[in-house]
Amino acid sequence: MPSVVLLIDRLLNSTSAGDVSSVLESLSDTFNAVLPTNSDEFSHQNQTSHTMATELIQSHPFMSAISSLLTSCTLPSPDLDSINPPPGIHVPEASTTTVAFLLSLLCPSGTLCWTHHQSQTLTTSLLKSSPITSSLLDMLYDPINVTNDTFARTSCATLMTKIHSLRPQAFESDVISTPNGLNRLVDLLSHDEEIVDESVRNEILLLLITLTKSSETTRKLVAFNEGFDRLFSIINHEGGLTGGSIVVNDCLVLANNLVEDDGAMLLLQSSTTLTSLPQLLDVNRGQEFLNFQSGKSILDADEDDAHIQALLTGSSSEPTQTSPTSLPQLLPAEHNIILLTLSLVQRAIGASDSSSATKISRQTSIASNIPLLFAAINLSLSEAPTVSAEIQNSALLLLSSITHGAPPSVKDAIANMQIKVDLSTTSTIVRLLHLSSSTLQQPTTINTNLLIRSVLTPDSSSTIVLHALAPPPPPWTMPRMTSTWWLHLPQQPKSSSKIWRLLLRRVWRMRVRMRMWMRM
Amino acid sequence: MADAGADADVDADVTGPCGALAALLDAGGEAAKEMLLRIPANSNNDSLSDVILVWLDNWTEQQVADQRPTVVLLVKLLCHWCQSCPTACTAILSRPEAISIFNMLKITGPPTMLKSFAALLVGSLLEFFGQGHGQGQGHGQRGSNGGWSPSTIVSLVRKNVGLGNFTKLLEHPRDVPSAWGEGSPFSEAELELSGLKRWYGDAVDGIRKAIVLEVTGGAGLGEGDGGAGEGDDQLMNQQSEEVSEKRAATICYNLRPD
Repeated sequence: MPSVVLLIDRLLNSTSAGDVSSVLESLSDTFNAVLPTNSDEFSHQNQTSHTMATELIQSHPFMSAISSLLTSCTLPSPDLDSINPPPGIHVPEASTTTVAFLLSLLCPSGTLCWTHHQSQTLTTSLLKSSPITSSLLDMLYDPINVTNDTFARTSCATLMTKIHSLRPQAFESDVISTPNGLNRLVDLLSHDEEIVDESVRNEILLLLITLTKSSETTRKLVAFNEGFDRLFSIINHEGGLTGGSIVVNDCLVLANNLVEDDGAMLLLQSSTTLTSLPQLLDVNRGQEFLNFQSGKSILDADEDDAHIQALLTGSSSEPTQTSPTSLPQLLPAEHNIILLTLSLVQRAIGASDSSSATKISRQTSIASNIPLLFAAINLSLSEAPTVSAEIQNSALLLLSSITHGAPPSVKDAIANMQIKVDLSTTSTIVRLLHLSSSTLQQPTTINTNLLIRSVLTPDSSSTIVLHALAPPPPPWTMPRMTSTWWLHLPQQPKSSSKIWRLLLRRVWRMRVRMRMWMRM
Repeated sequence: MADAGADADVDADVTGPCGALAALLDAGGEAAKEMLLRIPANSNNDSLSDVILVWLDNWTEQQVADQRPTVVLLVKLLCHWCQSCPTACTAILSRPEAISIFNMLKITGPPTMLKSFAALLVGSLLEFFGQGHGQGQGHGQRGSNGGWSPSTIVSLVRKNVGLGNFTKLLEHPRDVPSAWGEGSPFSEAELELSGLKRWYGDAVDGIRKAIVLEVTGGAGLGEGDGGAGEGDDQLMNQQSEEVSEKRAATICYNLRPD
């Protein structure tokens, strides 16, 4: 194993870019080495490597050179104390090599491995001995000569995530104390390729998820820096619910972190989020639903997949055909996105112990977003097999939170909202009572009852019981004011246009089924 | 005993409507409770409370020892119905099957949720029965109807289980929080459960006040049973112990160094 002093000396006195790259690569190779399998020798080598890593990190000139290489891809001249120091050596792609070296230093990829304590010690030394966080942020945000080097910036974000996982508090305080540290990270949350590459942004997203999970200050700073607008802009650009992109999933996880503390207020005030949230809860935007609606049968896709699979595996058997009546389903990733969105709104309302005035203001604010309410109600009252019980229960609990302890106006708005069920229109409360009397799984029944309890007001409950005692006159007839007027009420008349619509819809359904059969 | 699968189906059928009706009754108040009494539940024009009582009576006659969720839910629904509604109390007590509620208190074995809810129902009947008739009168002077009065309810309780045991049954779900999960249909939703526990606790507090009023200051003492019996002593001792415990806890709290 080469001597540390020699290596440091070799790096600092390099005369060409090639020398610098060569030293850094050999350093990386040292830590990524494959050690002998003999346990005694392994332990000895492991300890020696760790001592070497510690000495490297604690060497001030070495770490200054590393910082300079990260920030400006330049190795400073060793004669900095002279009156006219010579210019440093510019090393193209030095940042990539330097980040790779630092990554190998903290988490070697060979058989060499540190214990958790050893990794923590190294990270602590790294953070203390150099402005590494600042250098990494500089490199990430405003890299010189690596503008197009996506790999270097992605590795840089990965390195920051690794450092944070080992020393969360020290790294967080470094990021916050660095001028514009966090703001620069948040600025990179964009879907604009000219600002940041997609893979770099995704790494930053992951870094911010870990940062915001543990630190209240970080949460507030990100949220107040238009965090929600940026996240929902990315979500919309990535297609929202359709397809269930992992990036959308990550954005929602981060949004769920941000909504804690005072973030809820910002979420509810952002116009981008208010328009995007209902779309994320719309099952009809699922991949299979869109294909189904646009006339492309899901069977076609399945059949194609099966043919491709058969070709790849070399089997000559005909692909098995699925039932032509199979309904479109949500993809597992889309399912997760809906759950995360419901959780986001639920968290925005706040815990049950939050002050009543704040909670009521949030409840009123959410209740005024009619598309959002409508989407949540559709999910909670759906009996279609496309909506899983998990989603239905989450939606029921969300609506319960919106209405629990809310002003009567909010409760009535939800109770009287009209929804379409099987060609007819009915109010939410009537549908809820119907659901409650259906045989459902126990959690769904209990959550339905919870919502009924939350949404009812003294007036609405008395009216419902009164209507059971004396049904109200239907709106299309004038009640005859005799003692038995209800006996003469006609059944609900169906206008000719309504009957035609019904017939046409049935014919259309038949055509769709016929087409699906024909394609098979 | 009936088929277990069929029982589970009945339980599933009853859980939803019972909860929804309880919510309607709680939110609608006395007006909704009285109106629901007038809605016929079968072709004989019996109200829903009558149908439930007949069902419960049949169930008690079969001497089934286990507590089925359906029975607990139906008794709980009657509890919601009776609270703050003297008319519902009168309607329930006017049925001969009402005695089955008192019989539930006598089921052998340790306290269960069924017995606790039966005690809550009996307590609610005691607290609210005849309240509308005795305006301006003392607690003991509340009206009687069909032979029933608060004092006769207390006498029946005393005869069946004793007032001390009755109070223990009432307090069982508060003393043993795990009781809410013992085969009861309440253990799934945390939000629902917390609301339910609060409702139960408030009801028990009201009932205990009503019992003390009836036993200590009411005319009921002089009517039938000739003074405070063993049950009353037990009740008084238990309440004295609770007051002492609370006092000791307060003293400890005040003496804490911080």
